[in-house]
Amino acid sequence: MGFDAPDRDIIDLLTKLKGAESEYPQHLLAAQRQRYLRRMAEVSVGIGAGIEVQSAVKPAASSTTSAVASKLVETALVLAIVVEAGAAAYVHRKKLSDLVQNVFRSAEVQEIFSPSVMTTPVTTAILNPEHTLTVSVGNTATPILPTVSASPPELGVFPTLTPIPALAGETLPAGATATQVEINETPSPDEENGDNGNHYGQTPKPERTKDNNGNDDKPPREDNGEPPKDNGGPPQKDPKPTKSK
Amino acid sequence: MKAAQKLDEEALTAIFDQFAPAIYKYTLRLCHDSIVADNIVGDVFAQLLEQFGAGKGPRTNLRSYLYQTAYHLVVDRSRDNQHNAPLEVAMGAYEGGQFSPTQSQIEERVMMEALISAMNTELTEDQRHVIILRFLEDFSLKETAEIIGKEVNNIKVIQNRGIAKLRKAMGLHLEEEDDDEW
Repeated sequence: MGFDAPDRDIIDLLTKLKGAESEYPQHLLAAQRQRYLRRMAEVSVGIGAGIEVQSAVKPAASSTTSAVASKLVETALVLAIVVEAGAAAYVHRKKLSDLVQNVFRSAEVQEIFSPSVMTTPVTTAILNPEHTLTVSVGNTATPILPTVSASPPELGVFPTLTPIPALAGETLPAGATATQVEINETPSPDEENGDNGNHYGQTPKPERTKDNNGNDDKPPREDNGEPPKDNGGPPQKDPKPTKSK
Repeated sequence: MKAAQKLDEEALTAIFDQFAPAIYKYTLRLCHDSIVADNIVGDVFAQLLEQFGAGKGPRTNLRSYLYQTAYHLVVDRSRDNQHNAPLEVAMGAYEGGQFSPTQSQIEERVMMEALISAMNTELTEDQRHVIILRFLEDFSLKETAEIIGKEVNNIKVIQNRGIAKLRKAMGLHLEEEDDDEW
């Protein structure tokens, strides 16, 4: 680096000043050297003990840092998977909606075809005795459910979720037994059995239990379809009102 | 350096023997107190041992590292203690009665004292520090910038301004001497 002539004079003076400075006093230098060697020995001993400690601490520290790093990576991966799943769901949203609708429709179909609870005593009392429901179940009313769970021994359950009602005269599906529930078809009124569906007046009348108003000698009225008649002749007419004089 | 980093006793002892006197002179120029300079030398090498023991410390330029450490310690002490030793401490080599100084030597001593006085009174702290590192310790501009913690261009500016101030102060001193002679 170049200096001007006046600056060179100053620099020369500074160079001379460097040589004219006092040296390090020997007694101070010796004492300082002893302290330095003592400290150096302490550091060497401490390092030897510290290395063993560091070797035990470093794996833990590294494992800690690696555990934290692995958690971060795992969290990042989960987030990435969630984001990708959301994106895929958005892209294929129509297909997914169709699939969901199909699933619900199949559930409804299952419900429609599930047989209802049947009770034999009440059913036979209402319907035509000729049309009976042969339910080879015990005397109790047992609901027939479309399940594959354990069932009473009288019931033979198909190994399917949806039972198949067997009609009279139809061949039973494979695997079915003769003890299956048989449901006869309700005969149509147009068949040649003389039943036109009109059952008016066919209900049996119950027996009379109360007294007949003192008319015990008289036989009970016959039921010939006519309305009941009063004792005597035609109904009495109302007396004519008399004129006052 | 590698041996010292491995805490080799011979290497560490050699480092102390080589750099301890220079660090003492450097700190003496800054703080003007021999006791303080001696304490700072002990602190500098104690810190060096701690850094090597911790596996840290300088990798390449050990000299710059030691001077930088000494500078920071001087600054810390100067904040705590504003006491400055007399200027004659820095000129102790000229004291002694075993030789009779010549005329030229006396003149030279007068110039030195004037220069030291100008450095202490005319220059700022940064200017004085740069001039000490550049011309009394023979550090390069880059090393000086690293020790002080400034840019190289900034160091150039500080140096030129410091020299200009010293030239102006020495020029006035020379004019005064000429006036005294007349």
